[in-house]
Amino acid sequence: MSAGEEKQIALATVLSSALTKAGAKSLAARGRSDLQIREDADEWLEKGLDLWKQGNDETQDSFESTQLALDKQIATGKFFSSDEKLAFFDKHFLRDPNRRREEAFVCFECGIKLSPSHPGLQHSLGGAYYNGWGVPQDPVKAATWFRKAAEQGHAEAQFDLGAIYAYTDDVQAASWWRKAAEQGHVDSQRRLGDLYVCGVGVERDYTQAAFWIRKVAEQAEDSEMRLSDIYSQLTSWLRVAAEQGVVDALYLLGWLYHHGRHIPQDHEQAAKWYRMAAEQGDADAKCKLRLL
Amino acid sequence: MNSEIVRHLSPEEQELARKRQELAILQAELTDRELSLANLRAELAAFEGHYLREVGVLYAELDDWNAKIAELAAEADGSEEAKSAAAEARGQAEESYAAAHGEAAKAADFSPSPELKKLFREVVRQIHPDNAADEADRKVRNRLMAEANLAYRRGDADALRRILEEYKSSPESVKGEGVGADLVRVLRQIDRIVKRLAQIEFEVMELTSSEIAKLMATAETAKTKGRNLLAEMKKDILHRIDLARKEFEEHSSETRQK
Repeated sequence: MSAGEEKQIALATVLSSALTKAGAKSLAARGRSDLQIREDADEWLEKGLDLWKQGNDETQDSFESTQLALDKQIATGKFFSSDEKLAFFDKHFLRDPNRRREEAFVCFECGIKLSPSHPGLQHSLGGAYYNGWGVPQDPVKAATWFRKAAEQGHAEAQFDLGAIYAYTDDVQAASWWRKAAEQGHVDSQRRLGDLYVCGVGVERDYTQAAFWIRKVAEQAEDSEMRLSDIYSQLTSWLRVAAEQGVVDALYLLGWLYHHGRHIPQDHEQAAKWYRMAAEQGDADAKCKLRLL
Repeated sequence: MNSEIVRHLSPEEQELARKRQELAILQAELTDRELSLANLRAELAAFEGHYLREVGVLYAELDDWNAKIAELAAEADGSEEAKSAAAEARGQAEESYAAAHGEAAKAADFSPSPELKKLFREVVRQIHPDNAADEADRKVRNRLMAEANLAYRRGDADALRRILEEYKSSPESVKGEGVGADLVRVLRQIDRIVKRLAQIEFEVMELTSSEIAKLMATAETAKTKGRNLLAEMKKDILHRIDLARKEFEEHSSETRQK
């Protein structure tokens, strides 16, 4: 053996045996190729979702321009009966005028061919069938796709599947919304809370209701939008729950007075309920008390 | 006045001094490059071990289910085509299993402490075979360097210290002198180091263009975006395993009914 060869061996001893072995190499190559496929599928999903958005925007534009055209005619003194107004809309208002949703559906199909178990694509295909976007409406197919994604833990799909069940099977609806709610899906938390308030699909349980609605409230604090529709029927049962000493209900009631939702803002009342929650060891309530 | 006689260097001595300077610079560069090469190898081997244990084994499991499905189909169908498809699927499953459970999968994680890095750098600086004075010295260095590489890979600081001690006490580390001989020796050293640097560059290039290195790079980029790529891959393959298992169970219950 020459000195050169010997040196090579000495320095190459630690060269990972595996890096040169075909088997391990092919597992790495396979991982990379699967990643690439998923990335391509992600791109199809993104493209499809963009097209949906465009379709929605253009639908909105068409609605507005139709409304405008109608108003103009009315302004010239022309009379329209309500049937005529409807007919005018039927004639001039175009949903998805540039057929973006059809293009989007093609994107989702391309993506799912590459990656048949892609939860995002499954969910979007479900949405396409559910809404009849780019494809004839088909609630059964919609549910099938939603279920595939939901079973993989896709929170939006769990919510949508629950919403389909809400027409027929409250127990199933509750069970899917719970899965999404546990993942922090706000709309599901709110629906689940409502089910507990009304005792639909689940045993009526104000403790559970307050638990989930409180989560919604905590997340809604940054988003004014959600707030108004959450608390329409909240206060009556909440008082009952608070009187039973449910800590989340005490907190929520304090929160309602604090922010003045559906009841006039009242810091004294807020402090009173926060304090009761704080006495039960609620850290957030203690925090809020200090802020008041 | 200074009584010391100002000694004029002979041209040969001047050349030797210049070359020694050049050699010192090259030696420093060599040390850096060897260290980063050793780190690259170790990081890749560690990542590969991790990948094979986490993701590779799942591919092996998936392939096993697919082979089972193909075998069931071959049994039901009986055609040569189905049989050879089943044999191919089984072969793939065995290959994946061997790769995922082989030697490479045992590579431990590599996270050298700054102290270990420093120690290894010192070993490379002192013991690198390309800095050898003569053939006998070179042999000793070769052996010690190989040991040191392994010790570094497994994070064994004590072994690195022992190797340094052993080299210092080795009689071969004493060098013979003489300007002419020194110059020849230095020139040879320079030549060897330049060659080794080129070799290192080539190896780094090869390593960084390997599949596992590309995968590691992708995983690291994803990590900066807060994504855990290996976990995502695992989830994906686990789901595929689940589907394959269900498919197998359906097929086997159909077969039983028949």
